[in-house]
Formats: sequence, C-alpha cells, structure tokens
Amino acid sequence: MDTAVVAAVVAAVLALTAACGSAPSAASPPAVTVVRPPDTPAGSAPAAPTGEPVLTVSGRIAAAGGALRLDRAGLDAMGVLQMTVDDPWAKRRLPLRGVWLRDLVERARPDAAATTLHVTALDDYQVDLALADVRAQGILLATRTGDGADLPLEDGGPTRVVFADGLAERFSPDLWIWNIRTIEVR
Amino acid sequence: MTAVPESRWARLARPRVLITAVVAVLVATVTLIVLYSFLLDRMSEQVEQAQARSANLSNADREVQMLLQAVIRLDPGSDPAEIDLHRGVAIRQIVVSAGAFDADDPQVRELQDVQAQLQAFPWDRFAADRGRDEGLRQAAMELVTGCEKRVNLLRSAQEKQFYAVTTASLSANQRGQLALATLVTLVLGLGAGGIAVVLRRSRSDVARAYDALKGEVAERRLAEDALRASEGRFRSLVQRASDLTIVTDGQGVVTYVSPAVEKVTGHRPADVLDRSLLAHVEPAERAAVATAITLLAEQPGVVRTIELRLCTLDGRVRSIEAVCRNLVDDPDVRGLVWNGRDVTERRALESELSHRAHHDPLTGLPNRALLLARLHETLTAPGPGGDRIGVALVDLDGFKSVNDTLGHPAGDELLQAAARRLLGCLRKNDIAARLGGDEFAVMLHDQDRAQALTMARRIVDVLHEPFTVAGHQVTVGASVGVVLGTGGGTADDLLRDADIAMYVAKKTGKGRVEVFEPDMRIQASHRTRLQQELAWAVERGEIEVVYQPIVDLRTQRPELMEALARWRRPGQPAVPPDVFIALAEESGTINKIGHEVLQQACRAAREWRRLPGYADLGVAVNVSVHQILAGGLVDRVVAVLGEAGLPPTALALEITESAALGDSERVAAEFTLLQTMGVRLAVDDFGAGYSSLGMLTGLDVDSLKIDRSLLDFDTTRRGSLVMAIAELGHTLGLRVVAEGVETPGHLHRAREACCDAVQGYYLSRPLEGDAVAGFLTGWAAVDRRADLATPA
Repeated sequence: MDTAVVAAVVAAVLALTAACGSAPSAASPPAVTVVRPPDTPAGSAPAAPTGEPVLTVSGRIAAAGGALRLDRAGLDAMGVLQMTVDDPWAKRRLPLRGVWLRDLVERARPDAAATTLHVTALDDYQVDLALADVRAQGILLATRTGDGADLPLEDGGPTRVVFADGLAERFSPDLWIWNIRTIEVR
Repeated sequence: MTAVPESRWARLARPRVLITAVVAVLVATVTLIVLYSFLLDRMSEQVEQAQARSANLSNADREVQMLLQAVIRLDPGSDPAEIDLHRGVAIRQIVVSAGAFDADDPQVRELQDVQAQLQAFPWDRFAADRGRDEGLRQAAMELVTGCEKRVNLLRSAQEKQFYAVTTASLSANQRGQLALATLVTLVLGLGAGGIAVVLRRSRSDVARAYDALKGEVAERRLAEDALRASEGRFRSLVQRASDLTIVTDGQGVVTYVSPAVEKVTGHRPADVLDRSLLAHVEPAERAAVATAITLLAEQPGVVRTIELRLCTLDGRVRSIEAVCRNLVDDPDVRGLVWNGRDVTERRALESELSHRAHHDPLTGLPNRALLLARLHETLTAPGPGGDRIGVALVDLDGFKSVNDTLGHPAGDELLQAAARRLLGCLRKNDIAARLGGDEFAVMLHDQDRAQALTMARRIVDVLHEPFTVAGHQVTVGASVGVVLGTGGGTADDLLRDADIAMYVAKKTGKGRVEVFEPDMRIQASHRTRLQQELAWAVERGEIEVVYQPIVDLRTQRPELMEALARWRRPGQPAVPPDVFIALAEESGTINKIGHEVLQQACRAAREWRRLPGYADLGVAVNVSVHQILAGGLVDRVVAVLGEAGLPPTALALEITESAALGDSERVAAEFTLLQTMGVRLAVDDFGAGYSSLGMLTGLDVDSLKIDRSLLDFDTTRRGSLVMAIAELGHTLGLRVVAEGVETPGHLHRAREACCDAVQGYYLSRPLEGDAVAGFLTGWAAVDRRADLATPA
C-alpha cells in the first residue's frame, strides 16, 4: 500500500513536471510567396527616389552620399514577398508584403565591421537588431498589406519589422518595431 | 492482549516505516517546490502582462495627447501631415493596447470604441482646412480630449492593477519561501532522525538515506535558484520601468529610489537617500505633502494618490502623480511606497486646455465665460466692491463689411489689432474680454462715472484710427455702452445692461458712448417687440409697396417709378420708413422685404408698360447691403424678371452704403453680370453717409442719385454743391438724378446743375400701387413743360 502511494505521488510529480516544460515545436520554414521579383540584381544600389522617401538607411554603409533614401517605388523594386505572421502585439494573424530585411541591408552595402541595425520609429521607439540575425533569419521589412495597399500608419506603416513563424521563441516581441523612420547600420 | 514481545517482522518494519515517511516527506517537498515555482512563474507572467498592458496604454495615452497637441497647433502655416502622423500612430498604439488584453475583456471593447471614434472623424477635411474652421477644430479637440480621457482612465486603472499584481507576487514569493523553509527544516529533522535510527540498523541504510538527502538538498537548491531567479526578474522589472518608485519611512526619509528617479529629476540616488523627500518637493507644496505623509503614516495598508511637484537638479519642476501605499506593517518594507508617474506634460496640456476654455483663441483675451466669472467673483466678494464695478461693452461699427469684402483672415487681423489697441486703454485692474464676433467688453475696476466715460471715449478714439489689414487701410468705428454700479444685480445683468446702452449708442449715431439708464431697458424691449411684429407683418404680407416717379428733365416724362416699402399697422400709427427699414436690417428681415418689393414692383411695371407712351417705363428697386452680401442676387433677379415677364432693361437697382463693397470681387462680378443682362445700377443717397467716390470708380454704375440733403446746401460764389457733384457724375459718364426735390427752388438748382432727372414731392408724392396708372395717364395728358422749365 505504501508503495502504491509513493508511486502515485511520483507519477503526479512526473506529470506536473511534464506539464510545466513543454517541448519546443520544430520550426518549419516560413511560407513565403514571391509577388514580384526584384527589378535589379540583389546587392545592387537602388535608384534615387522620385516620390516622398518613407525610409532612410544610414550609418556604416557604402551607399552613395552615406545614406540610402527609399520611396515606395524603390522598396517595391527590391522585390515583393508575401508572408503571413503572428503579430504578438495586436494578437492577430496578419498577411503582409515586403522585402527581406537582409536584402534591403545588402543593397545599402554595409561595412564588414558593422554588427547592428539600430532601428528608430516615428514615436522614437528604438531597437537594435544583430546583423548576424538579420542575415540568417526570416526577418521581413513589411511595406504593404496583404492585398497590396500601402501599409497604413494604423497598421504600423509606412514600414515595420516582422518575424517569420517559428522565430517567436528566439526574438522578443519588443523587437517587433513598427512605424519605422530610420535604420542606422552600426 | 498481553504485551507480546515484538516480532522480528515488527522490528524490521520500523525502519521501513521511517524510510517511507522520509520518502513521502521528500516527495511532498519536491511537489510543493515544483508547485510554488509553477505558481511564481505564473505570477511573474502576470506581473509582466500587467506591466505590458500598462506600458501600452501609457504609450497610447501619450500618442493621443500628441494628436491633441497637433490639433491645437494646426494653423495655415503648419504641416497638415502632422495630424495624419499622430492620428495613425495613436490608432496603432490603441490597437496594440487592445491586443494585450484577452479578446473578451471589457477594455478591448472600450479601446475599439475609441479607435472607431477616432477613425470616423473627417481628419482629411480638418487637415486640408488647416484649422481655419474653428468649429471643426473645436469638434476635433472635443473628440480627442474625450478619447484621451477614456484611454487615460484605462491606463490608471491598469496601473493600479499592475501594482496589485506586483504586491501579490511579492507576498506569494514570501509565503513560498516561508513554506519552503519550514519544510526543509522538517525534512532535515526527519532526515537526521532517520539517520539516527538507521545508523543503529545498517550502514547500507545510512548510505541510502544519505544519498536520498543529498538528492533532496540538490533539488532544494535548484528550487531556491528558481525562486531567486523569479525574484530577480521582479526586481529588474522595477528597475526597467519608466515609473518612479520611492520608498520612505513614516517620516518621509527616503530609503530606496528606482533608477527612473534620477532620469526624471537629475538627482543621483546618493543625494536622495537618507534625506527627507520633502527636500526635493517644491517649497510651496512642502507643508501640504508633509501633512499628507503624516496622515498616511498613521493608517497602515491605506493607499492614497498624492501629487508631488519635485524640483529637478537643473531647477525645473516636474509633476509626479504618485500612488502612495502605507506598508509600515510589511516586514519587508516597513515604510511608505510611492509609485509615481511623470505627468508634467499632461498637466501643461491640461492648463493649456483650461486656458483655451477661458480665452478667445484669436485675440488671446479672456472670453465671455471668464469675464462673467471674474465679474461674479468681484460682485460676491465681501466688502463694498460691487458698487465700484462697471462694464464697458464695445462693438465695432463696420466690421462685418471688412469681413465680407476683404475675407475672414483680414477680419481676424483687424480683431487682433483692435484687441491690442483696447488693451492699451486699460488701467491696471481692468480686464478686457472678447465676447464674440466684433464685441468686446471691459470690466472697469473702481472708476467713477467721469473716469469711465473718459476711458470709453478713448476706446472709441483709438479704434477709429485707421487699421492696415491684408494690405488695405480700413477704418471702422466703435460704439460703447457703459454700465456702472449694480444695485445688487448679477454679472449677467451687468453685461445685458451694458449691451442695451451700447445699442442705444449705436442707434443714436455711430462712434458714440452711452451710459446705461433704467429707461433704456424699456426702450429696448419696445424695440424687440417691434422687430417681432415686423417679422409677423412680413409673414402676413402686410408690407405695402408705393411708387414715386423719377422724371427725365429732357423729355419731361416719368422714366422710372421707384418702389418704396411701407409698413402700415392696422389700427396703429404707421412706422416711419427709415425706422422700420433700420429695424428690418438689424433683424435680417430686410432680405424678405427686399424680395417682396422686387416681385411686386416687377409685376406692376409690366402692367404700366402697356399704357400708351410708357412702353419704356422702368422700375427702380432698392437693394440693401444685406441682400447683396447674402449672395445669389443675380439668380433671384433673373427669377423675378422671368416670372413677371419684364425685360432686364426695365429694372434699375439702387444701392447705397459701404465703400468697401467695391472691393469685393464676388459682389463686383454679380453686378457686372446684372449689367451685362441690361439691368441698370444706381448709387443712392450719394453725398451722404457711406456712399463715396471709391464706390463710383470701384463699381461700374450707370447713374447716381444726389442725396436730398445736398439740395439745401447753398454755396457762395460758384454755384451749388449739387452742381459740383453733377459735374463729377457727368465726367464719369453717369446719369445724374436729384432726389428730394420739394420746392421750385430745389428744381431750379437741379436744372442749374444740369441734372438728368429729378424726384421728389414737388413732382409727386409716393403713390399707392393702384394709383400709378392714373398718375401716368394724367401726366401724359398735361403739358408739364412750363412747370418743369421755370421755377414758380
């Protein structure tokens, strides 16, 4: 009888332990569709903006003039991808279009010594993204809504950083920055 | 049963029971530790969630405030994209704030409602208009202020929640540690007991128990590490939070400050710790805060919200809204915990809003509400103040036409300049306010009648000096009504009496000052009643039209019949035309009367033109400034002519007034259009009052009518004033008509001046409509040459 009690308690403890630590689910590659291929080869400098610039990339980059100003046409010319993400802030499943952040950064031609992207929003919120993460992971700079409209300010426009499914464990929701104004390569 | 010696089994069973007990206790301990770490995990999750909600709402609140500031700031010179930006970012933060709650939380519905309200406003129109439409701005301010209040309410509720969760988490942590300590002691005691028993039994038992204990100790260490980790997490939470946390003892001496305190005040923790919190409170507030601390320190467990105005290192003052909790009984705190939030910007915004509620945004002067409040304060203040208080009500004459002809920006500029001049006339304790439109009021402090009159006349004088607005020089006048002392009246009474006096000043000629007399109140009510009666008379069609001929001096035949409105009240004395026309202009009834007269005159003229010899007879109708400024004059004239079947060439419109009319492009365009159709334009009452040379050159009129008063002017050497004006008219290529020809002498003077036509009692009184046909045929039958050629 004692043994039974002990066994029951042990079983309960085991069950509790199991309940507390859930095994991480295997990350599957994000489902991405190409809406529009890039106009120019990857890594080449984008054309000077003709419209109103919506994003400025500056800092340790080799782009002409020390800063890369991009209008909507310039962003689209880098190619448009579509992906659906889980917005941890608005708690919504969100289809978005945009460009891999790594593709954008490569076009600004960062220094070999650059390590960080310092991103600043219109309300002065700022985050640092490690360049190594940006290069290795599915981090998208969303520029348009799922149906192709300009991303409105209300949804975090003109541009925002979102992370592909499966990256939630690795990257804090604090890194989801929206209403982006500038990206400084440091 | 007698005492049986213990069997071998029983002796053997004792250590087994002990071991089982030890194992059971160990398992229970582990279970508890796991449970607690689970609980603490959930707790710190809740703390984090509460903090995230609070931070999101705080962000949303800030963004809505920024939107409000943008709404307040928006003017024709600023960038309207700012509105779009702040609205967008504010809505984004509201969405994010809602996302931090569960879908069925009431906060979500509230936030969604705020979001919907913000989205429904016509921001595009507001931004495109750049704040010119004050009404729209007012609506936007009300909407955003309302939204801000709602978000702020959610935020402060959430902050309280955050505080509660944090406190609960701390005490759970403490209880957990206490329970753990008890159990560990128990286990150690049991373990030691077990060892002692087992030592006597076998080495291997001891080894096993030791191993088990070692395992348990390792587990315990793990669990303690987990506890420490979650405690550390809480601490870092406090450290990271932008809100200030201060712990003081019951006397207000600081024992702990969070890093945010240095960020906000600039004081390093070392300079704050172990000193009284009061040292950093604004001197004027110290006594109040000291009292609040003393009161709070007496009531353990009580929570109060206290506003701290802290002096910063660089000499500024920040407003901190602090939730202060008495945790003197809490062994871990033993003091007062202040959770504060920097609300300096918010307070600044609130005072800005209150300033706006009490001031006129255009001139920066106090508005009617504030003036009434000040009057009320003074009137109800103890002492003899009430008898020495007065109000001067100032109304600009001719402001409306500046607004209508040069546009609202010019009108606004004029009001601002007038406000500045008004302020220049005040004495130290007087208050000037803008009541609305072109009405200002001055509250006079301690002035006798002579002083008040002197000041009022000065106001009239300075406001009569020319103003330069929008590149034009304009002159307006001012009429002032003064009321002195009250005899127990209210602030409203004072303003109303001053208004009545101002009204009398305006009526008896512009640019005057009148002091209120009780009689005026009776006259004023008489006037109001007359206006009401006039409005009814117009409704009932009691306005009659009479006609006075204008006779061509060359052909000696009537060329035009001028239509004149008359108000005959059944059973009562007739109201003189100039009185009731003035009444009608004040109340706006003139538009209806003018239209009525135009219709009747056109219909009548069509009939007269059928009379033999009168196929070219025309009709002249007066048009008031009101009708012109109301717009759509051309459409109305075309409609009336069409309905009456009268050609436009048979109609002459007579206009008076206002040099400024000529500057309005819209008015000029309407007149040009009428003239293109063939309608003739005449300037009425030329030489009196407002009609001026500027009008003749600004508007392309066909004829001018010399005012009757000029016929009586005798000039000495070189003929009459009429002659000079007639010459002027002819030089400009206009037909010249002399009005008010009542005597043969008048007629002579008109002929001498080479006037083209004459009008007046000497030729004919105004005729009832049905008498005109008789008059016309009678005129044609008699040769008037003699009458008109030679003075009698």
